[in-house]
Amino acid sequence: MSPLFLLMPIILPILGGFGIFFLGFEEEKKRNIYAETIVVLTSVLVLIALFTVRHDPVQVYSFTNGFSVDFHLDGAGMLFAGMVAIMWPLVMLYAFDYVRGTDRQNLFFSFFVMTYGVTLGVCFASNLTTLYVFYEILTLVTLPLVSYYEDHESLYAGRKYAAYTIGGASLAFFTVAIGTVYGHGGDFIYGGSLLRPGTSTLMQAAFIFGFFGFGVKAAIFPLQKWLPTASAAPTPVTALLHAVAVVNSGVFAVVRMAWYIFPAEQMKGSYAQLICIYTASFTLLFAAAKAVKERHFKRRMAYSTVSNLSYMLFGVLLLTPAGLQAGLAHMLFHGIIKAALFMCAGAFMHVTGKSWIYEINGVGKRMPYTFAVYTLGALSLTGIPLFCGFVSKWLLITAGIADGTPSGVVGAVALIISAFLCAIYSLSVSVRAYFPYQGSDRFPDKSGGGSPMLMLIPMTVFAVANILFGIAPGPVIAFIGAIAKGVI
Amino acid sequence: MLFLIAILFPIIAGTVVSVVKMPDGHTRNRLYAAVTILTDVLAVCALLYGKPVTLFKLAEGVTISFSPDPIGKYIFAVVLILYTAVVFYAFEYMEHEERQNVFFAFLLISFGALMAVCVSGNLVTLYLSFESLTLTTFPLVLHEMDRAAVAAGLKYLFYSVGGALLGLFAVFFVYSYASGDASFTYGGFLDSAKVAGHEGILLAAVFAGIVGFGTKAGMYPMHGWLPTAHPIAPAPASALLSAIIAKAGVVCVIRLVYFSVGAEFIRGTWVQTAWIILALLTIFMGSMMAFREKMLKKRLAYSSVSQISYIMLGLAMLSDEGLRGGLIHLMSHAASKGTLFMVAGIFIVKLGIRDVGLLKGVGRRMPVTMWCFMIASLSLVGIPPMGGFLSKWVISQAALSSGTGIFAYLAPAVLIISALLTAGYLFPVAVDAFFPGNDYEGPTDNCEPSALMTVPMICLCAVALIAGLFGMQLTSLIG
Repeated sequence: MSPLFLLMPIILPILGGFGIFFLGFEEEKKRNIYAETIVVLTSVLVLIALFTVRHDPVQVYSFTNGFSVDFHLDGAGMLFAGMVAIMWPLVMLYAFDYVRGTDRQNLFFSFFVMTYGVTLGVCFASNLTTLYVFYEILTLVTLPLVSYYEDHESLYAGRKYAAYTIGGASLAFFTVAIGTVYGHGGDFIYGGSLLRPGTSTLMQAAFIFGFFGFGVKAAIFPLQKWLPTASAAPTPVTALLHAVAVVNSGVFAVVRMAWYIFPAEQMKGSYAQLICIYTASFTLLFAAAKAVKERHFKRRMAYSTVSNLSYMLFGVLLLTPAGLQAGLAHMLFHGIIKAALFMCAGAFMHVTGKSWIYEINGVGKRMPYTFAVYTLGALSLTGIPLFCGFVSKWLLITAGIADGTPSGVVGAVALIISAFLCAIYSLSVSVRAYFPYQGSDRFPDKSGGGSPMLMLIPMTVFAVANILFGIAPGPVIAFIGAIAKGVI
Repeated sequence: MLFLIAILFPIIAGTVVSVVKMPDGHTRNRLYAAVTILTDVLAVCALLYGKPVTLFKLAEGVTISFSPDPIGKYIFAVVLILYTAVVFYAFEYMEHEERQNVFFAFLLISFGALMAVCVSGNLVTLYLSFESLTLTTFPLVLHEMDRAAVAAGLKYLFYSVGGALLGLFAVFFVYSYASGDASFTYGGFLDSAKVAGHEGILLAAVFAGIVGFGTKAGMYPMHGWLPTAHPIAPAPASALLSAIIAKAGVVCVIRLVYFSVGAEFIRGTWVQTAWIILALLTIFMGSMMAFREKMLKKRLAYSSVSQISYIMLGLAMLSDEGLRGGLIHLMSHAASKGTLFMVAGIFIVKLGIRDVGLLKGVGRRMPVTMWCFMIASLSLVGIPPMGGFLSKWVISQAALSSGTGIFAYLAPAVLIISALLTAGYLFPVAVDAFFPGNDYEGPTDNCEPSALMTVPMICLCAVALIAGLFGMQLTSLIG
């Protein structure tokens, strides 16, 4: 099928999102059905596209010579789009229950649906300009979602979010310009599309700018602060956007830059690579330590996300195919795990109205199922075999060791230490939930019940996926391996 | 497949029994007993007819597989004996405790996990089993659920997980330089072509692995959790933790050193020297701490720190002899320390005594229990014909012929000093108990526990004796 088909899943949710706003649904049920239909339809379109669309790029609009909006479908895009397509409808289900009873729900769902289309735009972009355009729009459409509650905290979070990401994007714009001018119009070609040697000072500077610019969305140190603050947003937003869609867009953009604009092989060992990879190694440790210190449930998860995003960046920046494979695998698996963890955190907050770690004491009795899902996720994140987190961690560390350079080994060590910190910050929550010490104020009984059904369904799906990918990761890993070698 | 069934049965059955509604606690306990016996039957079948089995493929060259070898089977058998003894002992001990249900469920689940540790076929499977063991035994530690118990449980959890991750670090390196499918082979499976030029980092990784897995075995500097966590658990759990669960760390070290990188690779390197020093330090320090400790269970825990490092010392000699001595000590220490903790538990439930100072005259009130204490102490100190004597003999021999310079002589010397200390912290307890002196005016009524508690102890004493008499024959298959 023609690559023009890719426009359909991008445009449908954007228009559909506007639709919610303009149709002004009075009845909640109708609106929910409408929104879910749009999202499911989009996912179906994405899945059709993944299997049928040809892999050559198509130009949609040209700003000036060289700067144009192009789309194509390649391996990396397929992975990200496929992941988003499966997750979006599920998190949407969760959101219905979560935001029930708040004001301006239409606005929420309107933007929530639109974000889907924009994220797909990022997936399907075939040159830097297009990526940049959707990347900026992504910031703008998610802003109202972050500030949704409109209390002091949320507004502050929104401002911070906007300042960081728009600032970051402007850093990256330098790279966009350089990549477009000195390359094939900034087209994404595996192995690099620059026409000049990547190791010249200008190019190395562009690499670093691009890394930190796009890295803002991937919460790279020292630009990571917006992410924990942004967990003031409603949980579906945190679960999907700040664990998967938005932050992975950051990682994805770095992948595009490091592997599809810059010649990865050539950049290996350059100052640019070393600066970036050590920053990633540092971030993944630093954020894990912050997560241990953090006492707010969702902020702790957010710091954990910061740490895990740097796992991916570490893999990508090894600039070896094995590293890229590991990074992309972690992008997928972390998305699955972290979405589930956030959903559990959200369910806890939604059901009990509490949000601090110490308030979790004994909740396992009241919400046994939710915290069972949480524990599975925590084990996976720590890296216990039979869960998918182990697979990607295995790939990352072996890639680091196989790389043989000091940066690879240092990263591998950092990953191990961070895994230990991860065990502390994630498992201690499970321990509190199931084994409160006597004398602490426990929940007296099961009054109030556990999580609502619409929240449990998506959580369960993610938990099952967690285990499935944990015991039989073969096909997915093979697919990602093909992407990393530039075959797809 | 049989091994898989034997491993999964207690895990699944334990969970089911704990979840299903029962008319009363007694029915449930009977079911737990039945599950234990059935597990034993299955496990014995597995020992006799079990075949290697591969379950999942996690990545290229990374599989989950179980393949029993003589060493695995040997330790597997010890695990079976210990768990069975403790489960039956626990029924009476836990009678008046709250939340028995959870306790027994986790007891059985950890049973499965520990069996898996013994027969894991490669390092990744071993890591999985090892982590499962930690996660399923820490509820046993924090059973009392007061502040101290929860803190001890967390300490145990984090030390163990941290240690396991250090171990995992070694696993990564070993896999990176492995030849073939990295399944355990005596003498190691490293690909010397791949290793060439990377010896330094690989040695460092192996050392990290030894220290990491050594955490579970209470080896200095990662021993801190053991004296906190072992005494605070209910006595049956402490018996298991000290006697056999801590040995999981030993199993991992054996698998890493002897079956993955090969003893040859680290013989004579700084890793061996550092390992011997750590083991000697732990032996001495543990005995000293035990000597000054007044609380019986804590004293026993420190004693475990010291005694398990005997095994480590044997292993660190990196010879077949050393390995053999370690394995004999594994069995004899498991049996004797299991007995001692059971006795300590009986003092607590029957007399309410936790301090060694209050045990005067107890020998008259519960002679059988006290005799078990005595026999187990003999083994621990190393008096022939008990297991402890044989194992120390073999370990010392291994040390003397190891060619490690000064350590060849230092090791037997430290063993002797530690034996003296061991005698010093165990025998006075027994002497006071049996010979309280003429002026003893305390109670003399008989408070011997029922057969449900004494028979398991007697059996374990017999095991300690068997280790001493037939230890060499039992371990002759190795190498």
